Amino acid sequence: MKKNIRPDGKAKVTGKMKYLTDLSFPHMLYGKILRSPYPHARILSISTDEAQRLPGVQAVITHKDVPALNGFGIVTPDQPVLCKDIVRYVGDAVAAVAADSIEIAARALELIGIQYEPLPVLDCPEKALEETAPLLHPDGNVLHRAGFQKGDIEKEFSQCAKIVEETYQVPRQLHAYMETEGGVIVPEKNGSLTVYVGTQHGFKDQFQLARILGMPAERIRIVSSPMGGSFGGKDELNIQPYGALLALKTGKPVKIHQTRQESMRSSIKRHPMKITMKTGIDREGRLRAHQTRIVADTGAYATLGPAILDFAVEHAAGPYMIQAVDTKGISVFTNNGVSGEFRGFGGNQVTFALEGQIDRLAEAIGMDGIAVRRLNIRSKQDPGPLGQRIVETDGALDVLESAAAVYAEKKRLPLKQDTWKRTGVGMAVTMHGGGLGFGRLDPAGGRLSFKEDGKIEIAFGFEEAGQGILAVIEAITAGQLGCAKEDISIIIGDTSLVPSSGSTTASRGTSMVWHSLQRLKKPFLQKLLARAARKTGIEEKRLSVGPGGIQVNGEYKLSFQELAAGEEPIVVAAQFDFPVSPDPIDSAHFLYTYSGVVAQVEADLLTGRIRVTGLHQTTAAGPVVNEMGYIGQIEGGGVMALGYTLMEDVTMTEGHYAVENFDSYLIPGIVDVPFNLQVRAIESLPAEDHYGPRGVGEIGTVAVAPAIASAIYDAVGLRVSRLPVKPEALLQSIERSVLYES
Amino acid sequence: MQMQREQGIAFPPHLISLERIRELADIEETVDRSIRIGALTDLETCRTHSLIKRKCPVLGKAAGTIASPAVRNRGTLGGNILYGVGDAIPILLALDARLSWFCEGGIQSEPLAGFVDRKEAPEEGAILTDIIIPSPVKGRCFFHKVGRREAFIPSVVTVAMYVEVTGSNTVKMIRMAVGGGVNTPMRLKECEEMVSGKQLTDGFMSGLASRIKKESALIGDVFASADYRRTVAANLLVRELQSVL
Amino acid sequence: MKVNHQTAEKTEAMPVSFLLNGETVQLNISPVMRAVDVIRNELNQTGTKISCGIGRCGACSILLNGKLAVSCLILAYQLEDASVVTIEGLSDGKQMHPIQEAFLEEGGFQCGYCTPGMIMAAKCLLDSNPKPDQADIQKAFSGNLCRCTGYGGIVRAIQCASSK
Repeated sequence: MKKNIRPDGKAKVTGKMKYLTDLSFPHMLYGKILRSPYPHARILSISTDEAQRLPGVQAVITHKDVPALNGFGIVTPDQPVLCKDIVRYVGDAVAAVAADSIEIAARALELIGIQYEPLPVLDCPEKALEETAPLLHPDGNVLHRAGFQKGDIEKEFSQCAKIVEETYQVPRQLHAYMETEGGVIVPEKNGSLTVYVGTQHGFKDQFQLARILGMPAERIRIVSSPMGGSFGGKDELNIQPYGALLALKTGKPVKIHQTRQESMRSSIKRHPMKITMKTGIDREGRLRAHQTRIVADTGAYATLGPAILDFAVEHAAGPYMIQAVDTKGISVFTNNGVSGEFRGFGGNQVTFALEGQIDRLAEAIGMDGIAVRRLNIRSKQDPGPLGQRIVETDGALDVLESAAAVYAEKKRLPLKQDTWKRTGVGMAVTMHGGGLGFGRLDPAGGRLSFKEDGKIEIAFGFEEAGQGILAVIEAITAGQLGCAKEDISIIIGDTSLVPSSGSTTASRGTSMVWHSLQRLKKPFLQKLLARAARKTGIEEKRLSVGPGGIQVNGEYKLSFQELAAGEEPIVVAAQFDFPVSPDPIDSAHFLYTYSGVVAQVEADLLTGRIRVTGLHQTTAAGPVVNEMGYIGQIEGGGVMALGYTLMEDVTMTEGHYAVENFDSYLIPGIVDVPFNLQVRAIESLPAEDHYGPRGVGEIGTVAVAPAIASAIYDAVGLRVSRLPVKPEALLQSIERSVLYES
Repeated sequence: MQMQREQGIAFPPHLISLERIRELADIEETVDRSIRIGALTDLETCRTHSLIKRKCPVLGKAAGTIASPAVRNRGTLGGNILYGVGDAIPILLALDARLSWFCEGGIQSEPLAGFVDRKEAPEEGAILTDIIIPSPVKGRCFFHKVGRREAFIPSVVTVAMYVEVTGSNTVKMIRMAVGGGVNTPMRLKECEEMVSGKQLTDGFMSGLASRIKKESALIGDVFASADYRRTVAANLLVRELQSVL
Repeated sequence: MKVNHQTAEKTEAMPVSFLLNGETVQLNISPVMRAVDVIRNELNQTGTKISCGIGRCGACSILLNGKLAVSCLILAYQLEDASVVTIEGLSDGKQMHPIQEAFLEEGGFQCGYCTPGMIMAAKCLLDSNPKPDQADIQKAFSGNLCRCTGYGGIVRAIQCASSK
């Protein structure tokens, strides 16, 4: 089989791809941002005179230079672009400089004099919730509360044979995209602004920047693609406002490309959460009552913190049908780094806790973990986790059975003979909602054109961050229209050229491309074939689109170039919304994907270190559009989650980062991952399903941590409730005498 | 130095490159069959050099656990030592290595331990020229580095040992060394004394483990506690001694 | 207090001459400029990427006199008389290098930002060891981080390239 080569592939493997941080322009200046050295402080004074005087400095900006709204945030603009009186975390920006070189800009930052009065630091949600705690925002330190209740929880608990209560703690994870935030902001001659900076939603950046700059949105062009990775991390604004303000002030292009340390300090991270679950099971193995309390450390500002908590609440009972559910979550402001959108969006955290509960409950009643899951897992017609109707599939059971089979097979493998190593196998399952959820603006759209040069142009407002959206667009467009890939040109990531398609988040891209084509295909082909009929004199119904041009009964008749010659372009566009449940339940999802994971580990009894030796992931997300992209998303997501489980933690002490680069913040290297990752796709959907392929950008990250945790228990009998798993914890759990008196 | 610059520490005003003095970057067997390694020998060469592979493979193994291939191509053994807490130091301590310094009055030689304790050159402006591994390496050598990741990772605990045992499991000669993180690598002299001349038995090991933990006195940080480091050091060294039996 | 990471240093420019992808370049630059900045900014060869700046990720990997090196830890003066090969120098004009083809065919990349460095590491590995086994591959790539692929596609690409 000929492998499906990505449209952006050749440029990437030859080094020719120009990322936005690779761009340079004539007379370009370099920008740098001065961020607070304190996690919480009052600004007493700001003096920029000395910096202004440094030769080569072209502009120094502070809060006084923000013309309109001094704030950003996708939903609530509560983060100051440039702080005026209070800083709330060590990434808060206070000033920025544009200079002739990076070195001069850096030197200028040192010359900016700021007097601070340090304030008490709220370095955890518990402190922030104390009655005497200083308020970080006018409405207090609670960003958001969310909950879900069904059934009589006390009554159901009273019916249980066993109840397990455990508190799970999960860390602050760094996206660690290889390309740090950056790009160039160019003031155009006509007074407009072009922003060449990666983001996951160009039109949202345009909206936010317009609000900050006091400029009409249409005078701001966002070129937002390609990106060297994002994973949710570049969804919120990062350096754009500073580049834009400096470019407007100096009238010159300004490049900002954050160093890794600057990125670590200012970027959003995955929410650390403390999740307490109390779950009851009856003698037959049925889950009867499930109580969850979530405390999320959302850091200094909101960004999408509320939606992430909502998502965690929704997924707290996962794919299981439980009589009584009582979930309450709270997202709390602190002086830690800002937590925000990250692949998995709150699902990873609760799934680790939930699957941990299932394992513990199964053991408590002496049942097999897979049997308990089988007994309680949702079936096709069951309502979704918030009681809403959802798209019916057999995904949950399918991935469970797949994982069960793989688990049994791995368990049969002979144990490795080594006195100081123990091996184990574990599994976990999950379901994950796609799209933004009910009640949230979630528009999508695309545009299909037949150009004057005979190219079929397909345009979306999506961005390529590596996930392979270009390959998906190419495959779906060619597949739906019947043309060859070579006939297509793809336009994405430029607000001046593309229609609004919504955000490149929430595993929605693939779905939305497919849904767009369903709408665009018919009118487009009608117009195309009508013209072909006119040009060839052949009846329209005998004509069809094929590779390279128009065919008659499968025989090549007219090239696309000939068809286009001397004619106006054909343009069809579609606008619609991401499908939602007919039941009006706020934030509830409608389209879900499912995952079943089996992990194998090897534990070293001398050092306490864990190695994941095998990772098998089954995903049910409808038809596979592009096999290579699909495998890449699942494998890459799995390894990102492996890092989350075993090594990744943006450690903070008293509001300061204890890690600042890849020497102390660790992501998995090639030696840390199983050499042969295994991915299985369950593509089948019910015959009546008309929702097509689902996105798989997030699902690969969700159920890996609990599967590894379960394998660790199998290997050494340690119940993991805190991530990342510390070798120390493992070592402490092992009877010492085993080692010294063999 | 570039790492320090990235962390905000400026370069010194003058830099003199010694890179092209080839004699500082070779490995040879000396007349007394010691191994002389030029201080500017890169770590990748230490890892792969035929003489080291033949006469002292454990050093090659140790070099292979430091940094990554690209960094090993540039990083030198001398640099690793002068860093003060380099991962190569414990095994070199166990091998009883010596350092040669180019001083004002000529070449000075001293045990590696001397420098490691001082963390500065024997005199201002002295240049490290050679690392000498005394011959012959006939006992059993052991090196193990534990980090927070499998590869390309700063050490949390590094242990090394050189041991000669007689037929009746009696320890004729032993040198043990530990390091890791910010801990200055050190020989475990008390432990060595405890074991030297003794017959190794299982019963002995538990006591030795406690002694290793105590003497190593490894300190912890936000990533790994002192207790963890000490326990791992003891586990690895004791386990290795057990396997000698 | 550490505030800035790229503090200005006053250094006088000096002439530096080296081979970049087979062509002689002569520059008058600060001797302590990072090689990665020389390549990216002075010579506008942006295939070599910058990510961590401390040699911990491999995105800026190049071949320096035939050996793999991270160009963020090499200073301009160290380039004098050297031969530097970057990703741009791997394919001769139109034809891609077989390693590049293998990365393309096996999905050895996604966002592509680590890819030039990965491919340089692959070249270094396969030049010296055309049939690497698992341990060889793991060792050779231990200094190159990828956040997208989970390394599966990279392993398959190397296996594919080594069978070509």
